[in-house]
Amino acid sequence: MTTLAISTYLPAGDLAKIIAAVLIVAVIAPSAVSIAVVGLDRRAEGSPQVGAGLVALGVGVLAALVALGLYALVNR
Amino acid sequence: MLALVILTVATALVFNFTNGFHDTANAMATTIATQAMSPRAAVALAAVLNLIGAFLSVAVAATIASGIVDQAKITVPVIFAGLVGAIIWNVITWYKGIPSSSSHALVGGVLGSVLVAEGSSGVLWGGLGSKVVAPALVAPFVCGAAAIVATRVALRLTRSRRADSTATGFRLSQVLSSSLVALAHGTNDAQKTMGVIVLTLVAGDRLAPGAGVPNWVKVSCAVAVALGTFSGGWRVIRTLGTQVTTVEPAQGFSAETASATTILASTFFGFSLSTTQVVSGGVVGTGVARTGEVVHWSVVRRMVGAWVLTVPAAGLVGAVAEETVSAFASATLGVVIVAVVTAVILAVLFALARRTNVTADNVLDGIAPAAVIDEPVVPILAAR
Repeated sequence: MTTLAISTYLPAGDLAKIIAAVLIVAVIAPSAVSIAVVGLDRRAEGSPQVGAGLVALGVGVLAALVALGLYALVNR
Repeated sequence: MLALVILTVATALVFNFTNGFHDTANAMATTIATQAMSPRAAVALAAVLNLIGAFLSVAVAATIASGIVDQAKITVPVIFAGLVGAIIWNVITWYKGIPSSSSHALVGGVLGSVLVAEGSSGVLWGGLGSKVVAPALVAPFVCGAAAIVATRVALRLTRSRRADSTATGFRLSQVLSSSLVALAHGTNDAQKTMGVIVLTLVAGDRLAPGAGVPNWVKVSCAVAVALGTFSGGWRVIRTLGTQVTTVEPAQGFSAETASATTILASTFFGFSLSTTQVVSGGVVGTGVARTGEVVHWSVVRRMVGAWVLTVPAAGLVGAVAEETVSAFASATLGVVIVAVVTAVILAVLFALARRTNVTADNVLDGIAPAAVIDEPVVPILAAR
């Protein structure tokens, strides 16, 4: 009943898209940081090139997410 | 009429200032709690990003309580009274250290003043459901669920990693996600006050209906929200950063990422959410996600209670302010008197707050020792 009442005011389709976007980022963003963390570990363990590559990959994914966020903010 | 317009514009800027210091916590409470940045550096960064955010979007500033009250029935004294309701509720909740929505306070204040001035015919009740009640019921849970997912992913993927690498990685990343929240806050909330001032100017015959936002309005709103943010709402920061749950770097990152994504995705699809409620949901979610973590539900209950009370309480103050203003033959005299009384109430609240002063120096007092880890990871910004 509560769901029905809410869907009167918030279109269910849009809400589903928002939830999907939020959950996808909730998986991708920490995964990207975790890749960078692995990179930091590798650097500390004596594999500077592999480490830097992993850090760059993680940072790149995060940068792409930030760019998407800025796009959403400017193009609302 | 000019004096009335000037007083109301000034009151709108005061509201914007309170909005800034009340909502500093949204972006920076967890960043400060995890020591990703020093408290002063964090609020300085939030202030700069709020300032930039105010100019970022080309969207027309949202008009005051659009879709909630009949705009044609709004007069300058009604706007003034609504702002008084929002300011007083904002400062009361700041004094109590409760994260509550400044936007909902503004809606409530205007709702109360319109009800007194025009009766229930001036209120669009369906708009109240779609713009306040439904988002408030959904947003904290969406963000909370995302924070749970993000926290579990973060902790699972880094459980066999070195603690210092994990902390550094998540703290640096958290600065990024917090910055997005601050930027979005500047864009959304500074523009709300721009809308209030534009409406005041139109209602006071100082601006043609449909005219754009004058540059001086954009600049003054941007500066007011940035100054408010820079002054740091330390009491609310303490509650959200340290009293809801213990926030470790992975959790802080997860909460802010979930918050930024919820706010930005909703903004893209045209929904206006309360940043405060979203971030609070994220912080609670990240506490729930961590096995063995304690979420202080009594603090959460206090926050939710304030959310429920925000619209009626700000509305009550707005109604009393409007009733007082309209009791005088001259609206300007009524507004001056209400402004003086409001200033006295605010002075008393600030004086009371000084007895238990919370500042950048003691905002982390009482935080669980496990969350306090060596030096901030952004040393260049950490200088006090």
